[in-house]
Amino acid sequence: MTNDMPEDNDLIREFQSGDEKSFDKLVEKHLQNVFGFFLKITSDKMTAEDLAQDVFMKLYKNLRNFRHESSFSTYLFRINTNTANSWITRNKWKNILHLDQAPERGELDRSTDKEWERKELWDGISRLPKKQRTVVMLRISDDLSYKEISEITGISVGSAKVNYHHAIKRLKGILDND
Amino acid sequence: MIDFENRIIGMMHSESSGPDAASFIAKLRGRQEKEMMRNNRLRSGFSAFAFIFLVGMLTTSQFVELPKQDIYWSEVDSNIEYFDTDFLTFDQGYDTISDEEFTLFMIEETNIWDTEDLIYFNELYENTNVYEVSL
Repeated sequence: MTNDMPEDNDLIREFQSGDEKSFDKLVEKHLQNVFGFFLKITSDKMTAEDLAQDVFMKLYKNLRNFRHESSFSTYLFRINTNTANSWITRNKWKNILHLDQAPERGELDRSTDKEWERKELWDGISRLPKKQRTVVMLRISDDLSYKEISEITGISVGSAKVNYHHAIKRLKGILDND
Repeated sequence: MIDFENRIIGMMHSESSGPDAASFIAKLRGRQEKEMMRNNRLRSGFSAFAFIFLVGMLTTSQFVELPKQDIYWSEVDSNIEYFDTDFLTFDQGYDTISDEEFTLFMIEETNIWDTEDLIYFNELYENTNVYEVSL
């Protein structure tokens, strides 16, 4: 996560003054990152695009009240994480069902095998407690530092480390048992 | 543990390109318009409901108790209760009012039973007077 370019804050201020085009520029600038974040979680382009739309809808509604107390990228990541958490919770059981419908292991198609592993992984992540799930998502999908994770989630750096450690241990247990 | 971490980070790797920004923004605008229309519909619906509710409350508040019928003869400070059917308890002041006038009034006010009582007792009174006089 890089420091905010002055451009982001300028665009936000222009949008807050009533310039809708500034919001479009903001979307163009951050679309790939947001889409990529959700694509890693969902493994489905359409779902990732829908979730990205949800994020920018929330941003549009709330950006007028943005007070520049935190950086814009932190704010955006927070929205991403909350949206991802909601999606994972909503689709918890659906995800388990997808596992049941996945092709049998042992086929020679390596992409299917990889897809199976990803579904197992996200099924395991969906079973984690919310804090651990959030920390793991941010760490493994965007490779954020513990400091950045603590800024986004509002927990301490130490707590982020502990939650990550517990989450990985738990995931290892889940995936090894399956 | 690090191997496991690297393994799951490797699973996250995705090479897919993102959606086209222009079409994404167009879809976003469409969604915003839809939501704005939905909010406007909700607001209109709520305003209409509030208006109907208010009108209903104002209307029902008009259904108050019917005012008691004015006692036309009570302008004068008197102990006489003209709509009391027990005419025998009338005060002496009753005698100063013309019976015919009062009977007519009672008929006009459609107090038929009270009028009949009045006529009956008036005749009784006159007969009593005649009788006493004869004594």
